[in-house]
Amino acid sequence: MGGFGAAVSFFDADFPFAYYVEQLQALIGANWLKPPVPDKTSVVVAFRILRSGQITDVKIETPSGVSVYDRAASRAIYAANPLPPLPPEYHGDALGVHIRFQ
Amino acid sequence: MKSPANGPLLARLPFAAAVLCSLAVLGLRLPVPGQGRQPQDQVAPPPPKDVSLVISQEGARRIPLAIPPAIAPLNPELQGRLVDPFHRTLTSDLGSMATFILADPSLFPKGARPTVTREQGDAWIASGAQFLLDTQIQLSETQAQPGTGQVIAVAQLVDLRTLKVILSKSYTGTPAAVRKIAHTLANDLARQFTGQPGPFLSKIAFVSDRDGGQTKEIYAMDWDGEGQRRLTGHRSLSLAPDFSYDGSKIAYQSFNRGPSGIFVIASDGGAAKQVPLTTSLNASPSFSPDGKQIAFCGSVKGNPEIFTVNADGSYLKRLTDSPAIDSTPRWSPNGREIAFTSNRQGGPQIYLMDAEGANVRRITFAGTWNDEASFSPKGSQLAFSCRNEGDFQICVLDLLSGRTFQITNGGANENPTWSPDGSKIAWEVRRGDSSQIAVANPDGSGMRVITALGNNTSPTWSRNLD
Repeated sequence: MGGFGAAVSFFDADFPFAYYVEQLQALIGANWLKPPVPDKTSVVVAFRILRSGQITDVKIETPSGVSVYDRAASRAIYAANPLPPLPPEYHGDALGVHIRFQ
Repeated sequence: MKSPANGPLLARLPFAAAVLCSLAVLGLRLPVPGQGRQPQDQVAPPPPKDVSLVISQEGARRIPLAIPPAIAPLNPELQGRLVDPFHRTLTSDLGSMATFILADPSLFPKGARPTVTREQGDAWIASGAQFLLDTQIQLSETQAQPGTGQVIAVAQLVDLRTLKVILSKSYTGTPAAVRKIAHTLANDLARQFTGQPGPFLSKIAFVSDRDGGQTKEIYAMDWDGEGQRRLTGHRSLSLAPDFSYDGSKIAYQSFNRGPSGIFVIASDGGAAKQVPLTTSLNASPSFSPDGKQIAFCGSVKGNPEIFTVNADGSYLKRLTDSPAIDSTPRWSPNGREIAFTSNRQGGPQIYLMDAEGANVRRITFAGTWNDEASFSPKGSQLAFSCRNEGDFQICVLDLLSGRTFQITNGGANENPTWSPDGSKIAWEVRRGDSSQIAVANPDGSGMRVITALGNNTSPTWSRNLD
């Protein structure tokens, strides 16, 4: 299964909520439809996940300079709302997430 | 197979330190049934940090999951009555989800359960799995009275790369409920990975002619086709069932008292109650989401129109007034709109109107005949029977983009209905002389035929998830 090969470095660090990040990535990735743009275009979108899994405070942190690209990235996040509830063992009220779409 | 180079990358290692303290309490052995989560040592954890990720590939990635048969006492009777149906149900449910890809059982390692050591985890990973759903089944001892014991199923989900248990549950029920226990566990796993349960505890009602004698009765079954049972006993023609949104009732059309009438029956059977109506025709009932009203196709002066009526027969109201044929109303999930079929502009096409009958607009334009609309649970998509030439097929219209996709090809396909979570569509497929109920993903993939006895048509999927 090559699909998760690149994620291994991340799991090697024994990050205990790996499964949650995995789902986050799968659910948002499933909604990511990349507009045709030049290579190396990328945008960073930030948002918060409440304990319930609800997504809030979506904002473009580092614009790509191509507005359709930024909108497609935001859309991928809104379309995944709500995410699964945060892991019960996680002690924060919300989780901040920064995703670079490239 | 996607290239690892395109896979996800974590740019920064976030709140690892913050949660290391909780690792010790996530036991690696199967838990004692009924045992709750143990209290954690509170060592004033540092505030959690943000997570940073990179997403560079489009589309969904399926999570590889291994589901070995449950560990159970060696007993052939227990195996056939509990372990096998439990395993079949669990793998059928989870294998139907677009979220998962099931690892190949022929590659499963021997004796690596429970999975405690790195070596054991790697043995499972070698079978293609990333997560392991490990289960144990026991029957509580009641040798004196066979069949009266309680089934105890214990499940844990292991992340094979970290060897951490991320879900740990136990379920109890009668031996007859073993499939329901498997459906409940599948729903818990779906919730864990997608945030919402699957359709695994929902029901499908349908029309069957299996009792012979030119009769058609209303039947119900589990989503996977198991547990088929007859609800009506009219020995007449009963058609077009529709589940109420709370799952408690089914409305349908029946000729059991002569002229066509609308009836309501509890979804677990019992006595049917006729809705008193002054209209004739009385076809294709559709519950309002609050269950208080029923929309249907009726007639006063011979021309079919759309009506609404309270479930007790009061407040009959005609919504359409057209010399054309208006039929097959379907209430939208938010209760504000009704879709219906009309030939007012030529061939039969699907229209939307407000639930009060105003603001009629046409929404299908391709093909010569579009009919039998069914709203997705969120109301954003419409499945319907579509025909251009030849047989009817199933189409799905995305109401936001206006794009239509045909999801079937081959045979005649009619009467679509959505699963309550929106992850599946059921419909009737006719091949040759036989009509049966099929279930598939909303893009038509993963189709399974789930009935076989007699002809089975007009499925309606319950809309509640539990």
